[in-house]
Amino acid sequence: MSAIEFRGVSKRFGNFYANRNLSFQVKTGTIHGLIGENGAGKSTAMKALFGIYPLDEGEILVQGKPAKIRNPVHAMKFGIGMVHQHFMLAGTETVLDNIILGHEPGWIWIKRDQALSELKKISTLYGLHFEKWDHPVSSLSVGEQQRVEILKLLYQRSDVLILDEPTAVLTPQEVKELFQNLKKLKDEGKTIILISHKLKEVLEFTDAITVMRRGESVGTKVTAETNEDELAQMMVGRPVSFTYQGERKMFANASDMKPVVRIRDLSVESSTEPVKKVSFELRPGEILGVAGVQGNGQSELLRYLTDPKKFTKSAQGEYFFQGQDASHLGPLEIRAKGMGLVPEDRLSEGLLLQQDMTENFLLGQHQDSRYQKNGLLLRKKATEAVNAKIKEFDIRPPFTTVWSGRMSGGNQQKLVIARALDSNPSVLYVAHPTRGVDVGAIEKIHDAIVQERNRGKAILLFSSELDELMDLCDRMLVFFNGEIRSEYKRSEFDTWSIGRVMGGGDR
Amino acid sequence: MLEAFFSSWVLPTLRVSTPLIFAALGGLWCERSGVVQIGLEGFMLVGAFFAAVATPYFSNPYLGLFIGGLAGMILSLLYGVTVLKLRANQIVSGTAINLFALGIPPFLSKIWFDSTGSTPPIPSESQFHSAPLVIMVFTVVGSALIYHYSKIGMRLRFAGEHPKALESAGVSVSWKRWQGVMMSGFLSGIAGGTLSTYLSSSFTRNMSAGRGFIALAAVILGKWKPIPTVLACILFGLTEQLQIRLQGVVLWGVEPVPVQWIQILPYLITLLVLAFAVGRSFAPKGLGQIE
Repeated sequence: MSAIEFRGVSKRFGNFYANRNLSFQVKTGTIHGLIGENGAGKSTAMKALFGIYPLDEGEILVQGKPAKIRNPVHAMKFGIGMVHQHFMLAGTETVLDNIILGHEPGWIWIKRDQALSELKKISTLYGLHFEKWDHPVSSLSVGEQQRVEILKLLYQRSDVLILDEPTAVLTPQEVKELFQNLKKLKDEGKTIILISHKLKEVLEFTDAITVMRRGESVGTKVTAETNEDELAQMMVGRPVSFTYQGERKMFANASDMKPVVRIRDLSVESSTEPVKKVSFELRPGEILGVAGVQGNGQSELLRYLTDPKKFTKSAQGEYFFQGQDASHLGPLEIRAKGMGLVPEDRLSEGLLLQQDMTENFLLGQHQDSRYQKNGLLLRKKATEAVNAKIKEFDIRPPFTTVWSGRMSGGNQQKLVIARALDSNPSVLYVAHPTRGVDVGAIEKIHDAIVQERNRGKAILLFSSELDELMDLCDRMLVFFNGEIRSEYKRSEFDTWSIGRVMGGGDR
Repeated sequence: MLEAFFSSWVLPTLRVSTPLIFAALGGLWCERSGVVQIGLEGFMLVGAFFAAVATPYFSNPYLGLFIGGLAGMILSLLYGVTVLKLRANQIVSGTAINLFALGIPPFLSKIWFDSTGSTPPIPSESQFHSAPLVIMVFTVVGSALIYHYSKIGMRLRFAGEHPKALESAGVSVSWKRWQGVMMSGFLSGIAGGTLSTYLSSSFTRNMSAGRGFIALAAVILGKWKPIPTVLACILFGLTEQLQIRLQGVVLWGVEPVPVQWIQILPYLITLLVLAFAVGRSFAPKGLGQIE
């Protein structure tokens, strides 16, 4: 018996089909993976199921019966609940209040004791250990907040739980815990739909997988009978290699070239994680990787490199950019000297989500003589430039007037990278270029980075994905506790050795 | 000694704090629901006027105070229509309400009493003695209880803190905000009523004199929580009491400090406290955002 069945569901936005003739079934009491590239229509499908979007064609069946779900509250009555990527929790309010909101026992006065005893019963039944009922949500870790969201659904007696990219925000330890918990829910008869683009975890933890591409279902596979390669191929519609296959130009005398960035004995004080006595050089034609577990000083280093002026009081050491002292420069001045930046978090630092592509493209280059004259923006020129970038990087949807917040993660990142490369900078600071980006876009982005290297650009690449660094870099610096603990040449790359150093051990 | 202190400082301070406390509680409800409320001043003014008109008319100060509250609430409906229904900017609409309210009393007093913005004095037999103080205490206790322990209070808090969470729990955010707006209108109307029927015995032109804004400052100083907000009101009440006491007093030299300088005190202290004592903002996350 199917808990949920999609039958020929279509959802249009204008002439664009977000879902087209989508059909698949989710069996009761299973964990079902729904995977696909960013923009493949996974979220649209789930929003249709959740009653946020009305269907244009087809129908959705719940427990075998056609269901016309009007809105999220109506979906709740069908026993369907969703854990959103951005949690629906008020940070200042207690865990208990967040969970019982809308379903408080009592008429005028809330019977919190009654709610609490019921919640304790639920958490015992499903083996979800939790105790901080009266803490404010903001004091919880992200993993705990997610557990609160799941408890909320259980309290509302949901039978079908949809989780939208649940692991994107979690540590590996928390991911493990989450999937243990989901398995317990499954054993108690709940049905779980897992939206993800991380093939590994989908393969590890689901019973069946539906692959989506361009709004359609490519097929549903029993997890035990498929593998990473097959799923990736289904997702992108062409064979994908996870290692970079393009040309990698050799620079014979790379180590003799004059460094474009030179850092010596740099220390940055910080309330988060200080940088301690760091020295390195970055030369043209190389990709220098910065590896390390998040929160070991890499973010602070990047922030210093892009805006040293802000740190004049809290940083010591030398920063030479193109042979000149740069330790007193602000971001626009360093940009003018030839820096391009792909910031750590495109949503908070890279894009204005409620502005269109052209506006976003102009950010940081609004003073470039190509796009302004006498202080007035040359919008037409900018739009032309964006159109060219759309073609070059295959950015979708291909309209310059689209709000960047309406684009998928991969396409947003392509726009950010296109912007960073537009001024033809000689030095690129690139941070987490493929975080939250789908497989197809990863390939494009990796290709763009290596192409720039081949053109003789100097690239400093920050990433938390060791595979990515090992794949792309010529050299790698390993950060631990704010220091560079070790440096590896490409010929010396070794997962286990680097992993040990990242954890604070010896090489 | 203690008794003297009580009657010369504590009671008068609570007395002058009463309108501030009513208005601040109203502002608290409204802002907590996610709607910026700078119109308290206007609601107060209208409430003060109608209470001063209704009290002698019915020879009943309680009914007069209630009518003052209703008048504030009716004006708040207009504010609700502009910001919740028509989604106008909340600061601009609030300012417009204040300016509009400024014109109502002179207009009506001209028609009813042929005066330019003041009402005839309320006869002493229908004047309040200390009832508004008691009502105020009950309102404070009731508000704190509702805020922490009732469904209405909790949902209102979520409307301001995380409207999407409330919406997805199947509760109308807009209705909660209407409640917040109307509550602020009613309580500020009462606040104005206490000003004209309890602290004085008639309505005089622009008698709220910025108290609505001071009440809003108290909400901010109280970090949008009921009891701290009330305490902030009492602090501001104390400065007002101080101001009254210092008028005409010779502090140094032979001449008393000019009265204008003394009258600045409450406003100056409000400004300083807001600038230096509040620090990090604790405003509801969804304040001022209408989807």
